Amino acid sequence: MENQYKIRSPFFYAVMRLISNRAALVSGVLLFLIVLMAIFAPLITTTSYEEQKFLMNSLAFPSQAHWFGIDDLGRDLFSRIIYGARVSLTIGFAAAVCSVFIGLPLGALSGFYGGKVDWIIMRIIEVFSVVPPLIAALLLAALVDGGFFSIIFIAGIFGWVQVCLLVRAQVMAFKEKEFIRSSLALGASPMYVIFVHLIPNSISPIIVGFVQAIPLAMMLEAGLSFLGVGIQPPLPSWGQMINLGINFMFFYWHMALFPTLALAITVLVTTLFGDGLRDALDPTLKGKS
Amino acid sequence: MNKVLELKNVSKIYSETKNITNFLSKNEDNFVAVDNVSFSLESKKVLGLVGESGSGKSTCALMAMKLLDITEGEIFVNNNNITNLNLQELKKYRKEMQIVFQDSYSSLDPMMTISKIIIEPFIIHKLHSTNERNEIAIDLLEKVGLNKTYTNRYPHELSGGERQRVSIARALALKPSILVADEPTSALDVCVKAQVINLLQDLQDEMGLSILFISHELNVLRSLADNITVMYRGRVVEEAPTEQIFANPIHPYTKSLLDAIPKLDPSLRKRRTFIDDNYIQSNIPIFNLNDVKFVSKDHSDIGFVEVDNNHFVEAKVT
Repeated sequence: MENQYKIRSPFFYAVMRLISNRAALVSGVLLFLIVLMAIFAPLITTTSYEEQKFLMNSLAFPSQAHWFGIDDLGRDLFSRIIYGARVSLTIGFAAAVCSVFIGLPLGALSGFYGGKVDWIIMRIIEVFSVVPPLIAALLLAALVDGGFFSIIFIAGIFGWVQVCLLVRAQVMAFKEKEFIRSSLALGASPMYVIFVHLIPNSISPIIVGFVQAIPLAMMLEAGLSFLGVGIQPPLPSWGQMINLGINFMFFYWHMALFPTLALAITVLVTTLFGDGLRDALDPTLKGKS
Repeated sequence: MNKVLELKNVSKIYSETKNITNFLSKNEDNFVAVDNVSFSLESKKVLGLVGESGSGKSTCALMAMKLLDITEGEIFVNNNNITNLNLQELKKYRKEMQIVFQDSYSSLDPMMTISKIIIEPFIIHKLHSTNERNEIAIDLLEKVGLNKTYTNRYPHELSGGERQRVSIARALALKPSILVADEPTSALDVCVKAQVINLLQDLQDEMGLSILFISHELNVLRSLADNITVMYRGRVVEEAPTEQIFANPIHPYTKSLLDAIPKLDPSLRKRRTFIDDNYIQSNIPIFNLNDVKFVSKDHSDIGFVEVDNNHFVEAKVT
């Protein structure tokens, strides 16, 4: 009997759970395709994003030659959306990574130590939540001259608040649990407890925070690009294109529709995949679904 | 007798200084959870600590393990004062004493497999190589009546009794000499409870453990403990060898605890009467100073007296 019991790694079960979750699987494949399209944009598109080849047909509706139509400056919208994925995805993910890197340690420290540490971190968070992000971002962007990296930085310093609060709540709920006390009773240092027990147990709020930070960063980028301090044209970003499309929305619907769809699908797919990942990484859900 | 764990005049007071904005106002709300408690655990013996919910039993256990700050008093492990040691200095004493908690589910990390949980002590203390750790983990599992098929499972896949065995295996991994068992059987059904108690008894014989067994069930302690300490409202009210407590309870609270044990004989069944604090306060035993050996005194007329050989009780002395 004993020999029949096959020992498999926890990672194997995590992958199995992810595969058995159909929504997560489909969205994971879609996300992978979107990332591939962004990476291999020059191979998919026929024209570059800045070539004004079709000025004669500007504002033309979707057709077989131009799947998403042509914009007001005679550029192929399909090419621009594919290239825009590069900017939006990079900013979204990089900013989410930044948010987690700032928010996770601060949230864990704040939740674990409480008292003065918690008080100071909470006051910092209050400052960040009182200031409207767009106005602060505008000021910062003007100071550091806009551009790709400053948008990531700005989205990061406004995105960490959510991650920090989520992690803090989880750590506060778990630090009174007996397994933390057992670990301390075994002689574990606070840092060991935070890294080995509290952070792995906060995996679901971390993923939720990460997934929430992505659309926030994309929208912030869109807003900043619209106000002229974000991504500088002709480099395309979806936010920029949506804002442009709104001007033509009543007569040339394709200009607003396709970039919005691209943003919405990407955000939806990221969220669904994040949910699936969260469930897959939680061993207590093993065997369910 | 050799005392392995001793609490001397230990108190725990929770004071309500909410946060920095409140520090200007001086109205502190103090709650005394443990009030001037002293007891000691002798080598290779089982000391039962009994009392109602909120009487400070678990607080005492956590303070003895240095998992809670101590407001007043001192704690000795093998006659070394550990009260004011920092985390680093404390680490070598951690090997000597371990704790098992009541809630077996929350005492195991839900994200870890059983083998990871059991080898955690070795990781923390940097003992043994990876292979040796896994072998020792299987040995420990077998020692507590499980086998190696459990190594890759998660805590939620085990029953309450199995989880409690895993907790015990982890606590014994470092071969401690002192085990604090904080109501380890309260959440288990009668059958499993008996198994876990037998397991603790076997392990005590085998490893020469000294156990501080906290419970609110006197019948569990009767089969296990050598001595019993009764706590009531954060104070020790009676202390005696087990049979002495059952044969001759003196303090009204101890009497009521014994009265609460369900009777097997149907003809002795009766509706239980519960006594309140007023009754206990007004029925504190009174002794003449000439009859008893006076041990300690802290309030005006209430002290801790030795009424019989090793039988101590909180009483009024005239």
